[in-house]
Amino acid sequence: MSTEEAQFLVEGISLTKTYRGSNRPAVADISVRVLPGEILGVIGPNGAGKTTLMACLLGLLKPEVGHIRLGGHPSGNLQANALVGYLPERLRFDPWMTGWDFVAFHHALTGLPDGERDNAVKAVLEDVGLDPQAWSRSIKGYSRGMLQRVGLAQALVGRPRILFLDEPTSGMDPDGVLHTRQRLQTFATEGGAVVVNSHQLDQLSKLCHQVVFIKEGRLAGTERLAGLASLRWFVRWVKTEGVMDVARTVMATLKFQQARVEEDGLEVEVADEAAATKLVTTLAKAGVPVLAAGPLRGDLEKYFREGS
Amino acid sequence: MTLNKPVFLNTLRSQGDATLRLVIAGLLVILLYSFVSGGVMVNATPISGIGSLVTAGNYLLTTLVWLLGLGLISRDVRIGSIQLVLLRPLTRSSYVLSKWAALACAGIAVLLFMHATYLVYHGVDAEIISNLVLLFSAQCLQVAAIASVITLFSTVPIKFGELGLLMLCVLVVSMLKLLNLRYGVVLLDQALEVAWRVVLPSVVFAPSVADSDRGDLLISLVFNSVVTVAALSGAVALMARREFSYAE
Repeated sequence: MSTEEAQFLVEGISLTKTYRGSNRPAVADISVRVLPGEILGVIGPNGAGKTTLMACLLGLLKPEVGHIRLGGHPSGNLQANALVGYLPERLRFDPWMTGWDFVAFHHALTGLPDGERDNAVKAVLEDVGLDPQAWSRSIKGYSRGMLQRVGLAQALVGRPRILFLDEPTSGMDPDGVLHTRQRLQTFATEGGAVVVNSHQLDQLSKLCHQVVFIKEGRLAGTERLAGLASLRWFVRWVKTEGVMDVARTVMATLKFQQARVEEDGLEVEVADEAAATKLVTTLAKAGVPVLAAGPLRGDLEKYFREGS
Repeated sequence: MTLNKPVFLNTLRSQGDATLRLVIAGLLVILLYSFVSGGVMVNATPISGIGSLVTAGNYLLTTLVWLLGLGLISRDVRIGSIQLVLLRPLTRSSYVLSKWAALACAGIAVLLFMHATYLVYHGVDAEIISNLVLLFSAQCLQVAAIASVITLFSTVPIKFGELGLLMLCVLVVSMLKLLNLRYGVVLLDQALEVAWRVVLPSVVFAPSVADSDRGDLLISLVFNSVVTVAALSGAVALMARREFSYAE
C-alpha cells in the first residue's frame, strides 16, 4: 500500500454490485475517496444505488468488482469495523431497550473497557443533545428526531474515525439539524471522515466538502463544493429582535433581497464576493453582528437537475 | 471463535422480554408435568403407562426451547438490527455462538426449574440425585443440540422463517416415513429416524433413566454432541456468506 493510498480514510475503487436475480447492477464502477477531515455527500434519486454503495463501503455487501479500504484496512474486517460508526436511515433496535441501553450496548460491542461505559454513554448522549429525561425511556416511544439523535450517539460511541450516515437529519427539528451539522463539522475538523447519504440538498451544501451524484447505479458526477458555486456568496447575521429592523433597512438601501430565516440566523445570498463584502461592511457599521460570510457551497439542487 | 458477552446478554434479555408470557406458560406446563409424572423420571420402577408422559415431557422441552429460540437470528435480520451489530468489531462466528449459547442457557434454566419442582415435590435421596445428575447432563446436551439446530435454521435466508422450515422438515420426514411403511427400506427408515432426531432432538428413549440402557444414554450424548457441532458449523458458514443491506 502506497503512502498516497494510506492517507484516504475511505477508499472504494471501481465498485460494482449486482443483486441476485437482477440483470442490472445496483452500483456500477463507482469510485469514492475521502480524506481525513473531509465530508462526502452522496446524492441521487430514489433507487439510484446510494444505500447499496454505502452498504458496499461498510462491508455489509460484497461487490463483485472493486476493492474497499477503510483506514487502510479491508472493509468488513475487525480493524476496519473498529474505525466505523454507522447511522442507518431508519434506526432498528430491540423494542425493550431504553436510549441508554441502546448506546451502552453498542459501546459494549466496541470492546472498550466496561469501566468507561457510563461516562462514555453519558458524554455521547449529551453530545447529540438528547434530552436527559429521555435517556431512561423506552426507545420505541421516541419521536423520529429523538431516534436520529440516539442513532447518531450510537454511531459516535466508541471513538470512530469514519462516520457513515444515511439521512442523518431526517425528521429533526431545526435546532437538531443545526446541532447535528455542527457536530459533524467538529468530527471532520478533528480528523474524521464522514460519508452522508441525503436528499436534503440544502443541508448537504452546508455540510459537505465534496459530493458524488449517483444515477441508475452509476457515478454521474463528483464535485468539490467550493468550486460549484463560487459565483455566489452568502452573508449570515444574528436574528435577535433589536437588530432585525436595522438589517432590513440596510438590505433595502443596498437593494438586496430580503433575508431568509435559517436555524442560526438570517441569511441572504448575493451575487459575488464584492457584493458580500459591501453588505458585511454596511451591516457591521450599522451594529448588526455578522455571523458568517463566504462562497456558497453550491446550489446542489440546480446543479443536480442540470447534471442529471 | 469466542463468546461475545454483550450479544449473549442482549439475547438473554430479548428472550426474557419478547417471550416472557410464553415462557411462563411453558414453565407452568412443565411444573404440571413434573407433578403428574410422579417418580417415573428417576425411580427404578417405572409406572405402567406413564412412560408416554416422559416422552411427552421430552418433546415439551424441545418445543419450549424451539419457541424460546424463534427469531434468534432471523428476527435481527428481519427488523434490520443485525447490520449495526455486525459493523462492530466482532466476528460473525462469535455472534452466532453467542446467540446459540444464550438460547442454550435459557433452555437449561428451564430444565433446572423442571428438576427443582420435581425435587421439591418428591424429596431428595441418593438414588434420585444420582439419576437426576445423569438425566440433567443428557438433557443439557439435548438442549444444546436443539439450540444449535434452531440457530442453524435461523440463519437460513427463507421467507417463511425457521418455524416454517421446521414444519417443512417435519412434514417431509413424516411423509417419507409413511411412504416407507409400504416399502420397508431399513436404511431409509434409519436415516429418517436420524433426521427426525436432528430436527427434534430427544434424550430419554425409555420410560425412566433408571430403566434406560446406559448405552442408549451414551449414544444420545454422542449424537447430540455431533448435532451441536455440525449445526453450529453450518450456521457459522451460512452467516459468513450472507450479505445484509437496508437496500435489499
